Amino acid sequence: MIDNETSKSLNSLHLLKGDKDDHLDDSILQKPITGKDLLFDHQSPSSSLLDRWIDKVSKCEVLSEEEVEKLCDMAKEVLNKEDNVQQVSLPVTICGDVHGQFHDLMELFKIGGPCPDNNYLFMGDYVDRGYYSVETVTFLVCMKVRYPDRITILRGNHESRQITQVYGFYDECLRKYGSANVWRLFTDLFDSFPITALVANKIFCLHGGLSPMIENIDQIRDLNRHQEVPHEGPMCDLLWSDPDDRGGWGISPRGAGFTFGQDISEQFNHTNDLDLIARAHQLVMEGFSWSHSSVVTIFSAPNYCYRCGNMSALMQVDESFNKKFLQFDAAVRPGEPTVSRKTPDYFL
Amino acid sequence: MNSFEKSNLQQTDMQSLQSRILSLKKLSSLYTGNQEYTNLLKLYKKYLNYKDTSSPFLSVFAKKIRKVNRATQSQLVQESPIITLGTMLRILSIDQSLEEKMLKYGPENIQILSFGAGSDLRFQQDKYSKCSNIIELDFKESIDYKQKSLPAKNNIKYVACDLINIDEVISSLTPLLQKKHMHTIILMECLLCYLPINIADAYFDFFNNVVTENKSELLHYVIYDPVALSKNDSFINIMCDNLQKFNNLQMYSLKNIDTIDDYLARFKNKDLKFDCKNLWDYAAARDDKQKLFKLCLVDEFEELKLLLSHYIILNS
Repeated sequence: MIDNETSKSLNSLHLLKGDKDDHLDDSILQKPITGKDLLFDHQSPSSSLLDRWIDKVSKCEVLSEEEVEKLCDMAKEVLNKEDNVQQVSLPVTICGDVHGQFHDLMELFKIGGPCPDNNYLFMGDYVDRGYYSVETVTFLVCMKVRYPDRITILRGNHESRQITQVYGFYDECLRKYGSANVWRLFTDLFDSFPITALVANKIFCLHGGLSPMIENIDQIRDLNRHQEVPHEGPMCDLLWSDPDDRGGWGISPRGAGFTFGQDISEQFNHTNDLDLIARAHQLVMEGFSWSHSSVVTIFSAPNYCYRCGNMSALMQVDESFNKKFLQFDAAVRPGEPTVSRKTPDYFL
Repeated sequence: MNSFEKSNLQQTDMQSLQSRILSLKKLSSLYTGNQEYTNLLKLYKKYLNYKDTSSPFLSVFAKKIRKVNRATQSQLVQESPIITLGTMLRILSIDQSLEEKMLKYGPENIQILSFGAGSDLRFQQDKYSKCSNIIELDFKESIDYKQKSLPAKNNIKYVACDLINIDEVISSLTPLLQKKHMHTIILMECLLCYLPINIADAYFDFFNNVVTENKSELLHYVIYDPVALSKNDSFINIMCDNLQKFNNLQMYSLKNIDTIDDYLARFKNKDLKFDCKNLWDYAAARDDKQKLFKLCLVDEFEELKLLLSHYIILNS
């Protein structure tokens, strides 16, 4: 469901290309990437190089392994400067899991408005399950490096070496690059992603949920996030936990993290003077779903895995903390010559 | 049925075969004391590696089998954990249904008709050797390959057929049936969904009237099938579209039969007592569910529930 305002903006917007400073010169786009481009100063990222990469990846093409290596180096410099609890200001559009559904990510930017004209906060799970994890994560990382103050990308439980070897990103890298090098570059980069964000000090955003070992947000600031997602402990919980109808803490059926009840989320919000916890991690058929009184789940992969029939949603929060949910259906996927497994999985 | 439609349907058996082998490997690693799955895997190895020395040419069907064989041995081929888990549940639930019936009625009083048996080798196991009569029906290529690659069993008979041609099937099947108060189990794994509704109706009439001669107490079904849970079930609508688009498969019953009650009414026998569970509920009721989830590294339960809720295991 798109409101009138959004549909109006849809008609006029041109994706990812701003009208003013970010205007792309066609001659730059056509210029081949040279060794000189790859040696540019990390402190002053070359916008022309990044714009060329963004333009290329936005057409659902992959960067070369050399380019990915360079991109990851640049991204590490940007992301390592961010906090475990990254401060984000209003207005912002908050998004949930994307899971390699690249065409739906492009649709998301059409619905939510182009970046950098709009601020975005993604709450993790960019890879696995969908057929275009490489393109999806490359695009978001490019955008992060190009517009570091306009887009925030948190870590999800799938931004992990172990999970990506089971759920598709590793296989996809092997198929698209012929080796695991790109997978290694990205999974190393994932260690630098911030794990939570705080929007205007009132909306706490993270991929999974709360941890029995974290009572206040300052404790998150003390964590060492630069590591593989552990199997247990507070960092694991923040990326794996789920809200539950039952009160208190519960054992998660996922085998990692915990379930937490309304009493827990209310106490956490009270302790930290928060209005809302926004999180992702769970498929919800309408794209967003409220739990307790102040926990919202946002899921931004429509027709998840190309078979679930769910809607996708974004939550726009304006300067006055007004929240608006935008829901949308899956985008049409064009021909898929590079995808080896085209059929969504069913029991046949 | 033309050769294109036939090939598409046979391909479903190949996909199912690959999933079944990967799932059996997981099951044998979980239940290390249980030799059943290990022995079945040995049998599958024999089946997959069979070489027909009587012909210098490899049949299309044999080529497909070889492809599955390579895939199941490759470290690079990874199946979705949800599909592996669902296939494990499918194997476990059908085994359980058949074993309960054998225990209740005695294998010597049971005949089993396995429609679309394909590459399912479960009836080669010793535990079924005391069943009075087992008849497996599938396409000729599949039956020929099975007969050549596996040792003959006294109680197993094969009918090579196209199940759409119901008159032919009935005339081939009827002389092989054993009557005289025999409990008859109709096994259909993911088959009814592919059968045109009028053909399925005719089969139900045949089972009711001829196979068990209107003695409902002798007629038993073990059915595994996808189902719609409501009108305009979005999961099922997308499933039908996907399978049509990518696999050229027609799912005849899925869009037209959209409640479980309507599904049960298809069997046209009010005397039958059905036990109908979806695969999610079946999994939830198992004591070892956590072990199964962990073994498959399943970490997303909403999607798993959505998928498994749309597949039923039906017993009567």
